[in-house]
Amino acid sequence: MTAPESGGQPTTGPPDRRTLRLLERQFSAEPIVEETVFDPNSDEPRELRVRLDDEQYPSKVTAGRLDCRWFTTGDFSFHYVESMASDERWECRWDRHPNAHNDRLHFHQPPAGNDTTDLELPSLHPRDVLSVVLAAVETRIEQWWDEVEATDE
Amino acid sequence: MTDFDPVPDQDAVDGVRDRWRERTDTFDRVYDTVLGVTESTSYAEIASIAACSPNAAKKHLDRLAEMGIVRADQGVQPAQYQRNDSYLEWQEANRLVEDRTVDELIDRVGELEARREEFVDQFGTDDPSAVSVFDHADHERVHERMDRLSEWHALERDIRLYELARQISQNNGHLIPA
Repeated sequence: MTAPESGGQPTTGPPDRRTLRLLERQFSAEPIVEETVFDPNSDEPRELRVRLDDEQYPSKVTAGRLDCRWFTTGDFSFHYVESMASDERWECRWDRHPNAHNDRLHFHQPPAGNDTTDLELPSLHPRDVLSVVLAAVETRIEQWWDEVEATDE
Repeated sequence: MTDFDPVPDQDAVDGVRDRWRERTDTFDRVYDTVLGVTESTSYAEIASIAACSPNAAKKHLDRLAEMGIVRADQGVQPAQYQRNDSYLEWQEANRLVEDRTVDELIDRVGELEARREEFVDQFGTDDPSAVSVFDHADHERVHERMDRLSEWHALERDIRLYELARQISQNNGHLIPA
């Protein structure tokens, strides 16, 4: 998928409605997902907000969510955010978009998402990207429970 | 806590893919897969994402092509497929027609056009593609600018879609007047 070049610069283009609806159907069928909502609404979707089931997390984490964007250029952003009981946030982002510092495909490191590193994915198909992101989040949740158990002992 | 890996090990990814396979049939997975395919792609590659055999993928893709949802590029060997954006845009426009009157569709176009003017004023051009996202060196600023530009692109796309919806609505559900 090639970005449209204009003025010598690639841009991200409009949201890809079909892919956003595809992601919505896929996420809403996942056991870890509590609710999916389009922002601002389903008629003019810009972003898909995926609220994760807070019962899946230890009590230290009060909420988990994924904000997903997908563009007609094949660019995307999956922003994962955990809200803590301590009012802190833990967040990271899988991104694909033109930028001057990293590869088009890059990752914003937790806990704040400020530091970026280049990223490699086996496939850029939305269904495959979803699988990687969801598996990473599920691994993160398992690590949370491991930590809680280790602290209790 | 251990380090966070943005690309977890294959077992974890396979776990997510297995859940998808368990809750869907082959046709659903081929359909889901091709809706995310925006460039001509071989049916073997689509089969690999859809976790089915190439023959099964081809059978369902040919069916979807007959229905107009998929575009088949038969001129190449092996056959390649991608989603049919014009069909899917028509489907999106029909969604907009469902709950709205012609007047409501016209009003929405007016509102969106007014918002477009704000972007034209801010960036001093009427073409969002002419604006560079790299005027700011800072990564976060690039993101903010990208968000603004994407919103502008989205507005342009929405205006055209509502215009198509108005046309369909005024023609009693047809693209062209009876």
